[in-house]
Formats: sequence, C-alpha cells, structure tokens
Amino acid sequence: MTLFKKPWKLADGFLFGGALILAGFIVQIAAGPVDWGLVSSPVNLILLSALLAVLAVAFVNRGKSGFLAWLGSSSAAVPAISCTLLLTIVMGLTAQIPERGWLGSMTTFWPFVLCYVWLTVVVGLVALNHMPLLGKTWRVVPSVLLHLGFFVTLVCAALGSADKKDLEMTIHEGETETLAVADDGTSYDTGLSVRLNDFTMETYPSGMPKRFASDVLVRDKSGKETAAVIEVNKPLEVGGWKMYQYGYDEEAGTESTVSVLELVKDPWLPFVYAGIFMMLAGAFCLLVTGFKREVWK
Amino acid sequence: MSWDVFIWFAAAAVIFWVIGSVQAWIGKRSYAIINYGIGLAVFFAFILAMWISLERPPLRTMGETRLWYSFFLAVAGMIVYCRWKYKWIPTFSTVMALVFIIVNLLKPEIHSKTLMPALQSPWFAPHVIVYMFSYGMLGAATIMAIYILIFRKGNTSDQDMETTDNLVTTGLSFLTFGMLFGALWAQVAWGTYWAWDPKETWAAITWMVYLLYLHFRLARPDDKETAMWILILAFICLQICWWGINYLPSAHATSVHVY
Repeated sequence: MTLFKKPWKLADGFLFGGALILAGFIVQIAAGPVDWGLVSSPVNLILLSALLAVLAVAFVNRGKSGFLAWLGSSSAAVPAISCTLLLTIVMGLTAQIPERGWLGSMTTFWPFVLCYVWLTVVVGLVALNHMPLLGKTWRVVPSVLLHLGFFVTLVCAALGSADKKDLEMTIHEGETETLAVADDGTSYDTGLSVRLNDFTMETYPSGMPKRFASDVLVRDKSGKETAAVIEVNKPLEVGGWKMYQYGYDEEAGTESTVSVLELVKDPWLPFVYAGIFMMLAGAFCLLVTGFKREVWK
Repeated sequence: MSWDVFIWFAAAAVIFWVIGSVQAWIGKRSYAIINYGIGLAVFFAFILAMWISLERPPLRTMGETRLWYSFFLAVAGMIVYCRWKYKWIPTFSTVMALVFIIVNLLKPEIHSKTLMPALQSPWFAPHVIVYMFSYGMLGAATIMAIYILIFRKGNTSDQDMETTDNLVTTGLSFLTFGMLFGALWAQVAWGTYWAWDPKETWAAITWMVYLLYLHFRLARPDDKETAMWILILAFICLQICWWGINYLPSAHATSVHVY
C-alpha cells in the first residue's frame, strides 16, 4: 500500500485526525459511551500490555513504514495536539453534566477518548525515539523526561481510574462507623472502624468557614489504633486508605455534630506521581537547556 | 499597608519604568536597566507590605493576582531587554503592566484577610506565583507575536523567532510547574489530582496550545505567520483560564474555582 510507504506529512495527519474523530462518532452511535467501569483490574493490565506491545512494534519497524516513522514525529504531534485540543475546548465550553447528552460527558465521548489515545501513542513513541539519543547529547534529557513523564501520567491516570475507590463516610460525634458509601449509593465495608470524638468548626467574623476538623480514633483490621485530627489539606493515611475532611452538616454550621470524611484508595497513584515528578524534572531541565530545534526534531 | 496607598507606590513604579523606557529608546542601556530595576523594587515593596499586613500571601483575589501579573510582566520585559536588547520592549511591558494597575485602581475588589480552608496550604503561594510568572513571560511572547505580525511582516529575523521561542519555552516550563503543583495540591486537599473542573480543563487547554506552538515550530519552521497566530490563540485561552471562566456559563454550573 503506497499509503504506508510514502512519508506522511502534516496534511495527512489532519486527515487521519478527522477520520479518527469520525470513527469515534460511529462507535459512540453503535456502542454507546465509553464505560470506564469496565477498565478495572485485570482489564487495565491487559490494555497496558497491549499498548506497550503496539509501541514496541511501532518503534522497531519505524524505518520500514512511512506511517510509523511519521507517528513518532512532530508532523504527527501537531495534528494530534490540534485534535485533542479542539475536543478539550469543546469540553471547556459545555457544562459537564451527563444528563445533557454526549457533550455533557466528554470523558466518556469516544472521539475525545480516541484523540487522547492517539496523543498518548505519539508521546510514547517520541519518548522511545529520543531515548537512544541520551548517549549522544544531554540536551535531549528534558525531552525524554517530559514525554515519558506525560506518557506515564496519561496512561496511569486513565487505566487506573476504575481501580480507584472514592467513598464518603458520615459519622456523628461519639459514634463509630465502619461503612462508607460510593458515588452510586452502594455501601462498602472499609475494614476500618472510625470513632468521631469531636467535630470542630471555626468561622471568620464574616461567617465564612475558617477551619473544620474531625478528631478521630481509627482502628484498622489488625486492631492497631490511630488517634488523629483530620482537616482540610491535612489528610490521614491509615490501613491503605487516605482519609480527607470532606463536609459537615451545613444547616447546623458551627454547631454541626456530624462530619463527612472522604476515603480514597488509588493503587495507581504512585505511578501517576512518578509521571508528574518526571514532568516537573523535565520542565526544570528545559529551563536550563532551552529549546533547540536541531535537538528536539 | 492597604490598597489606599497602592496608587502612590504604583505611580512611583510607573514613573521609574517610563524613565527607563525612554532611556532604552535613546540607547542609554545601563541607566534604563537601573531605573527599571528601581521601579520593580518599589512595586515589590508594596506586595511585600501587603503580604505582612494581610498576614497571608496576597494571592487569593483577582485583584491580588493582577498585582503579581503587573510585577512579572515588568520582570519579563526587563529580562528580555537585558538578554536581547529590543529597545521597544520596556515601553511595551510598561504599558501592559499599567493596564492591569489601572484595572486594580478602578475595580478594587474586596481584599479581606479571610482564607477559606482549601486555600490554607503550603502549595498555595508557589502554585499562584509560578503561574503569574509564566503569564508574564507568555504575555511578553504575545507582544513579540503582535510585533512580528504587524511590524515585521515578510522580514522576520531569526533573532525575533529565537526570542519568541525562548519566551514561550520559559513560560511553558513555568506553566507546567503551576499546573502540576495544582494537581499535587488537589490530591492533598480533595484526594483527586485531576477532576476536569472547568479551571483545570482550561489550564490543560492553555498548556496544549503552547505545546502546539513549539511542535508547530519543529514541523513547519518556515511558516512563521501561522506560528504567531497560534500564540494569539494561546493568549486568548490563557485569559479565559485566568479570569474569563468566571463569565462562562459552562463553568458557573460546575466549577469550584469561580471567585
């Protein structure tokens, strides 16, 4: 096929992006929105292996195909960023309320998801392409860190989303709670028993909240007890959970004797953090090396 | 220290910046840099005094962020002048800083001591300060884009393009810091590093348009005009992200960042 022999250019990339968005529309009509709930373990691990395998094959064969050579180049980056950008701008201009149809739920909209997948593949390939150059020049360090960090962040954020548990626990002062409720209303046994000793709320003279805090005693499965004060920006880590101060009885205000805690368990978070710190290091190195066209190409 | 005396500090700073700008035009470089520097010191003295009297960093309200923006625009202008010697740049950054000073004088918003719990975090100051520095650098890049599109049509020099690329690279690095600091902070405050809140969505959009600029420069180095139009688009997105979303109906429905 000549399509895959000749070198692809910018215009081919925009055609490819248009076709991808169209394909997304067709899948959306045929199969409905993306169901991220299906991507929980072990499906996400299978998808991750598949993605890495595709990248490896594309990287190894980059010299043999005009299409694959293009996929890891700036001529693919420009249309991939443009298409992703376009759909993200649509997201920024439409209120994200799922009842309002496709555009009200962009994260489950196939064209949006497919564009991000395309962007992820391009970013991953660029990282691979630039890695062998590390031996030749240190000026390519920021590019490798930024592309690899962005790739890791995108992949782990998307594939890890279904494995994340995000629950709300409502406790009254002096009582003990073990259950917490998910977004969809189902109750889970958290394996923790949490006793709320005291809920404190302070306000500014204007009535605006200044500080709210829950004095708790938490016992985990092993029977180990932890006493702590949880407040906004000061979460507690216990028994594999992170506990955040989330809310209170807003009608009672400062007199509230109820505290709402948010319990989060996100097994992919360390990998997302690794990606974020790689990007931060890359942005820092970029300040030092600057942007040199010969290097980044 | 309060906003009542802002006009005096601002006036003194602007007078020094104007003197510096005039000296830049007539080629007195050292004097220009000294006067510009004094103006910056006067302006920063006001920010510091506000910080002390408010008992918190002045970064919460729109008016307070504009204060830093004016400051960093002038800083960015001075860096570009020192490094690349464009004699018109101090004038331009003075005018831009002045616009935001005037907005602050005409529309002084409530600048109280209150800081809601979510904002009481060590991430607060670095998050906003790196963002404002980035906005300052990218504001200077926008000035370069306008200059190239209007005054340099057809005979853009390599130095013009190099300056613009460098401003965008520096601005984008700081934009990356600001966005990721925000993600790390959100994780500590809410247990979610990214929630597609409209402010986050527009921050991602702004970040991506500047990425688009740099990658377009790699893919099509000779198409300078399109590159400059991407910068104009980027600047519009940046303004929507910064304050425009307060007026977007889509954001009003759902954002925790509208203030």
